[in-house]
Amino acid sequence: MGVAYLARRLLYGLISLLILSAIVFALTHLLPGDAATAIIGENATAEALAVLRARLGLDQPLLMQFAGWLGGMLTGDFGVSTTLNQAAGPIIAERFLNSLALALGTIVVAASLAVPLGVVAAVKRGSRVDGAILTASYVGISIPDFVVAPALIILVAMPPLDLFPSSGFVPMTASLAGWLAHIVLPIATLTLVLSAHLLRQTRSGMLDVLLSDYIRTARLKGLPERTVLWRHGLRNGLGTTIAVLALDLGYLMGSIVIVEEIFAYPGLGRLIVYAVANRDIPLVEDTALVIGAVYVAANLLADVAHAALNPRMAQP
Amino acid sequence: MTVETSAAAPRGRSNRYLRAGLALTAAALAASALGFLYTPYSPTQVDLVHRLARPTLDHLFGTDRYGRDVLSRVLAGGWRSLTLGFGATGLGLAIGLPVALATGYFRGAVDQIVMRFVDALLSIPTLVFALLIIVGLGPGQLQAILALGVASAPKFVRIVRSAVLAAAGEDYVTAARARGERALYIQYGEVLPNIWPPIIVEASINVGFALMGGAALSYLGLGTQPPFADWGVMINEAQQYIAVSFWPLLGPALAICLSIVGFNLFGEGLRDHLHLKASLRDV
Amino acid sequence: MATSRIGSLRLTRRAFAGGLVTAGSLALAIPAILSARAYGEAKPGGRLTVALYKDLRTLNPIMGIFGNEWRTTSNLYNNLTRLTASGGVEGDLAASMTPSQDGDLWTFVLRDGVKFHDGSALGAADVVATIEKILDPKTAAPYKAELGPIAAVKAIDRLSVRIELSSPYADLPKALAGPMARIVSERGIADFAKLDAVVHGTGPFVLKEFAPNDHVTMERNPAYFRAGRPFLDRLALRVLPDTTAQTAALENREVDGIADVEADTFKRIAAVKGVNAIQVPGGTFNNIVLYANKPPFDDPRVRMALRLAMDRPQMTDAITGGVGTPADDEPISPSYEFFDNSLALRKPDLVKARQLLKEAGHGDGFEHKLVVSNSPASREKTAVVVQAMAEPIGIRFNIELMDNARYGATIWNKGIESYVGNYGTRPTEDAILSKLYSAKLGIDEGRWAGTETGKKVEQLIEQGRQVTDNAGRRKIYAELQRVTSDEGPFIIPNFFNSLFAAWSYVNDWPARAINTEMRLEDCWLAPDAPGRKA
Repeated sequence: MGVAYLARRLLYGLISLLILSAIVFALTHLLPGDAATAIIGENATAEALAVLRARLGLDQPLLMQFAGWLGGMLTGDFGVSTTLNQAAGPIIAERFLNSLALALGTIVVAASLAVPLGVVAAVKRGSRVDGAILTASYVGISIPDFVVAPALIILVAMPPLDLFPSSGFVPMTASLAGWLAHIVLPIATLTLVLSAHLLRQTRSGMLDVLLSDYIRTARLKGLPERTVLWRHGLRNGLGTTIAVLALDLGYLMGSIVIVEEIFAYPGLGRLIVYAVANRDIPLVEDTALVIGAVYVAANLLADVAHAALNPRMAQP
Repeated sequence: MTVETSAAAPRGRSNRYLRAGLALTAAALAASALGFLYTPYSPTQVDLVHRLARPTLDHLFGTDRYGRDVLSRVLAGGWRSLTLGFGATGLGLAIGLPVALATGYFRGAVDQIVMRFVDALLSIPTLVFALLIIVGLGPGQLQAILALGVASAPKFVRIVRSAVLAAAGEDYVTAARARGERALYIQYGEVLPNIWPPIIVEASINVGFALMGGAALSYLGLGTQPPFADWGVMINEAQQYIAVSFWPLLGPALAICLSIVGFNLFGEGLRDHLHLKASLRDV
Repeated sequence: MATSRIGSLRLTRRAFAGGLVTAGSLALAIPAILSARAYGEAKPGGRLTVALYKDLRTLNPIMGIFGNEWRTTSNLYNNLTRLTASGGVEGDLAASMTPSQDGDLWTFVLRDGVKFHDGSALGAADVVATIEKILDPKTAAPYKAELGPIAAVKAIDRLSVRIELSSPYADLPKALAGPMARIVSERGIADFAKLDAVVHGTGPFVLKEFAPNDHVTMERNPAYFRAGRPFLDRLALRVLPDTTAQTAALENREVDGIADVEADTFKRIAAVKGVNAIQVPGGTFNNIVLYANKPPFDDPRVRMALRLAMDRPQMTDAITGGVGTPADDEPISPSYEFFDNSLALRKPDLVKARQLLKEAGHGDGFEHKLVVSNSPASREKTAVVVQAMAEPIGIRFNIELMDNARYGATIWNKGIESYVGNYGTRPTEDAILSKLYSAKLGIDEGRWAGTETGKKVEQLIEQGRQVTDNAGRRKIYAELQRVTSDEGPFIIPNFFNSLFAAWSYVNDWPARAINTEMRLEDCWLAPDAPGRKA
């Protein structure tokens, strides 16, 4: 993998982000209602709406609005949230860090749980162990997160156990212990939901490799089973897992609205749903772009990791 | 451990998965079909005197906050949930499969452009993408299928395309090309039958995701039109007063869990089955 | 069991007999907290944390539209006037208020020595700047209309303000207690765009930190004009959008109180030992809008048929989880000063309802679309229950649920489809009546003002504004209550009670009918409160 390849991928990523911005902008504009109706609510008069639209720049031609936003973005200016009337940059920066902490925490916990189990299940496929692991994974895959989260709150965060704060958030800078205590339950919920999928993809990926000619050749060469498994099996089999983890990172950054809402966790998911519901287009755009950028970066990293693990893999 | 024993075992296991998956899926389908024709009570019959009743012989799953019979609602909600799950997955596949086969097979500039779009769409969180679509279209069963289906299409393109890319280098494709077969035939006649396993697995998992996605939309207040409900909407409704009574949660939660387990077992079983057949043929 | 609850609800309606809500009648509903120890015992200090539900976007009082925004600003700002616990009105920043003989000229004299948080002194110019800003069409203030018919505001001297009305308006002092009329300093008004996150007020607490839709923290204002107030050193408001998490947070004492308890969880919270769950009859309601200028509901018989199909106590029970007050399609609840409790609650009569429908030419019933916004969630509950009640007489509502912004832009007050409206308790009868029924002063939401009765109602509303003696007003509002109940263009099945919860160590919680005024300046913590330890 050369520098040229990386540069090309990076360029692709940037193009995708540009397309993403245009799509999100267009979609949000197509929705009925705008920020003016959201700000003024059920008290709107035509006169007040017109005044607000002018003040918010919503009466400008669409292309102008998009160009204005894009121009600001290129100079690092995230613009102003139309409904909160505050600079969007700091709001998003804070939420971004919160989401990132939650996402990375979940990925570390989920991966260290699911990957070994997935490998074991693949190696011992067909055995009781495999059966038990898979059955357990069905539980995780089939219970919705918004059942898991309140159940966890009732079971662990309320008397008699009362082990953790039920919800909320404490910045890491204010109190490390407080931050940790508050993030445990959201991570536990998300781990339960993600591990199952991760485990099954790992098992599946390992199975593909273990049944491949490549491993057969290694075995025929008379290499010890341990070497076959660790040196050859794992390196190739974890490709799927890494790709899934990259996808999961994107998911954790923006799609876990419900978990964020239940635990009152100030992450990007809640922010973007708020922004869509209130037609706060700069905020929708900024948040989507940040989530998209994480996704692109994660995929790039996954590619690099994949290639590093498995140099003989063809470059797409 | 040797290849022989380990290869022999999954066959029995995969058949067991397949059977269990088929049984659960069939049960879900049967319950939905039953709910279409018959329910003990009208699923929308409000009974304000018997609100939030515990399970009794009259109401096996109890009643919800409006006094409606939960069992009847679970039965009647079945087809809504299943059409949502299958419909959205089917739509996602219907969009994703042809795009992936064409771009993965032809490669080139069009592939590059399409993939940039796919990447862009993939990087929008699925729930937000679906939300944008459903807010634009207005809520409803069909709209939800459309939203979740379209939102899942980029993922299918991605997954299927990588399988197509891998397959494109295989001997049988090279051979077909050498025979001068038409591109469409090679895509659908040669490549597709050989890349089914990952597609099946992803599709079966996606059915569950679509059900959850529908439930998530209902959490945001954009689910099925009341007073009707699919399982996700019911769970969401019951979840809001779980601290008061968890009985109304039980029925729909069981239904959705068992169905999702069923689809996954089915997918997994079929995958192992097909995979085994493929690997045996290679031998 | 349902009957006994209805009985007590009726009793509540009656408890407000005499129009003026007395502290005694409130104590009926809320024995635990309002009967708290005398202020002399109040111990200053400590930190209070209160859970809020959902939206908290802005701290700008003039632009706020959500209850949580008003709850917050009521601790950061003061108004000229404020409502008392008994529903009357008293001066807040105003030391005195005097109407002219005709009632169209009011003079307010401000307290001397009041300071804004930045140290500058409160003066007449600040009041003028605030009110002019609200009235300026360029501000697009959502609640401008509810300030009343103000023609001009003038500063007479350093502390005196004169408000000129375009017509007499007896309710001006109460209207000025509304959440949009918090007094902002002249400097704050000059920097209006910043007011969303910066406070230029005189209130008992000073803003420390604000994260929109997440939390706001405040500290005691040592220069507050009421001596010894506030008692609390610190006040934190946290947005907890999930009811299970909210309940858990209260039980774990992560929060000391909940500002707006979700009705379905109220009884569960009330069962927690040591927690006081407080309900006060309020005036918030959801109204099904039946356009009076369009078939089928342009026929008063059809509207009456629908009314007669409603079993209100049962509906109240189902919609509010047993903590509401039945309503008779009128927007005036028992919490208003001039509520007439002599009107008996209408009893369901399906036979008569079917008869009326038949007379109106709808013997086979009809289908009708009913649009519901997804926020707040109580709208959907109202729609489902009304739908169930209407079905037996053959009126089949088809509910269409949609996103709130789409609803706001395409359905609300557009005169096209029936929908479920949502309105909070107002300080005065006039504020809600003129908004909903007058085309001139408000939005005439049901398109009723064009009809003969509607025109009369519109005139009565204008009359109500101008009559200054209480007996005369009582008569007018009783008549309006009766007409809107019998012929109005809405179905209003119930009022939502204002629901609060707080640990027993929280004293003098402001449990008011208008639950969006949450002034915590008198609130104090007992020695065993967790907020005193940290």
